[in-house]
Amino acid sequence: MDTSLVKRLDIKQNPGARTAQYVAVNDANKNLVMAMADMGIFTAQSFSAHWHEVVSKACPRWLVVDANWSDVDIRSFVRAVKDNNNTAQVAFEPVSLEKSARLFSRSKSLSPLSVFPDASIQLASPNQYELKAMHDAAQANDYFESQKWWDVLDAFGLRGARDKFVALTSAEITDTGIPQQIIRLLPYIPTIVTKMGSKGALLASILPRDDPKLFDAAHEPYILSRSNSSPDHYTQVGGVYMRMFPIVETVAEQDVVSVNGVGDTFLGVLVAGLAQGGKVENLVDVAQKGAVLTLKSAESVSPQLGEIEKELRYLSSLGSR
Amino acid sequence: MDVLLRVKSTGQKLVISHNDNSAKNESPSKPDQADILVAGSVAVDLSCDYTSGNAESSPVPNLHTSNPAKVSQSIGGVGRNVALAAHRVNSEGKVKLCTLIGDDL
Repeated sequence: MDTSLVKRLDIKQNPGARTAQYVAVNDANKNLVMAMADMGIFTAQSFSAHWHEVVSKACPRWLVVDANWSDVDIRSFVRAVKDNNNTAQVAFEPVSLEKSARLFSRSKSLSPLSVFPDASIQLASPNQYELKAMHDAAQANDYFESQKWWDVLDAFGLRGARDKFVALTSAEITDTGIPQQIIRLLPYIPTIVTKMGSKGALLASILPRDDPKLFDAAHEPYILSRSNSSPDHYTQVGGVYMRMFPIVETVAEQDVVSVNGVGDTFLGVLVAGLAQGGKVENLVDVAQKGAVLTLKSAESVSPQLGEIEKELRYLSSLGSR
Repeated sequence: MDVLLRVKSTGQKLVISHNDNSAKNESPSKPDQADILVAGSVAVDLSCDYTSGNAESSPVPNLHTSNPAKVSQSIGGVGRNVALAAHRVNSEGKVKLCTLIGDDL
């Protein structure tokens, strides 16, 4: 891993800047009782201009931004991609309930988030609680009031969606409101993979009008809706894809070593596949496998991830089947 | 402490003054381009596992007092973990971690 962009803050210019620290207190069964996170260094000040240059120079295929930054800096990273006419796709990692709301900031002075088909963010992988926190922040801060957001939502062609939600997930999941929250966030984040613990992961994404999955019998069961807007409608929405991926392996309690880093590993493997040109629906299971390896490991990222490297490469080479 | 130790072992210059906006990468063999750029946290993780004799009946540590524990230190942080996972699962890909540390390590 390249660490040339690890920036050490000078003590004279940034008095009191402490390297971030995280203290977890676990019970005798290794379940988290409480943790204290000192991430103040990431929000104490903004380095917008510097991030701009970093993104411009690295010119990545994928940019992953976690929510430990302030709302200003999160938006700076996102904006940097656009300003540089960069083709990078952006993934947002919500970190925690409280921090996940930072993407949908209340501040009106930030450069706005745009919606599909030019969405500022392409991917997020919240757990079900972070999903709700993101949704509630977007609602409270008027992100669902924009006409462009409504145009995309309207183009989904959702009518009487509850039965479809139940069929594609379950009555229990539908009653929690998770599919409904996902739908409302999709215009801003066109692919959302919701981590649901022992239930697995729920993938939802907007399909552009020319997406081969819309015309493929193998994917027909996962087509939540098809757009009924005119083919030249500017949103270019073809439909919505929703697919539940059950857990790949039930891990016995005695095999759980540490839950630390499990979700982070999931996203890392997923993005590694996407950066190799993979399709998200082909990558969710292998990302879950990576997460299981970390679950069985004392480290926050399993040193054995190399075991799934070949599988990931193969799956990434598959087109939309 | 893999991230930081690796940096130290390469002797890479990390200190970038506040006014100098260029990320100085001293090695000419490394182009600036990356497949994946992760902008996120790196943190020193302290994990305190309660080591009571009876994990079945009373697994939870007591409040308002000190508890016997196994305390271990490691490097974590969400951004660092995502970057490391992406790196370990694709040895050919180029992953860069963009983060902040203090002058205290």
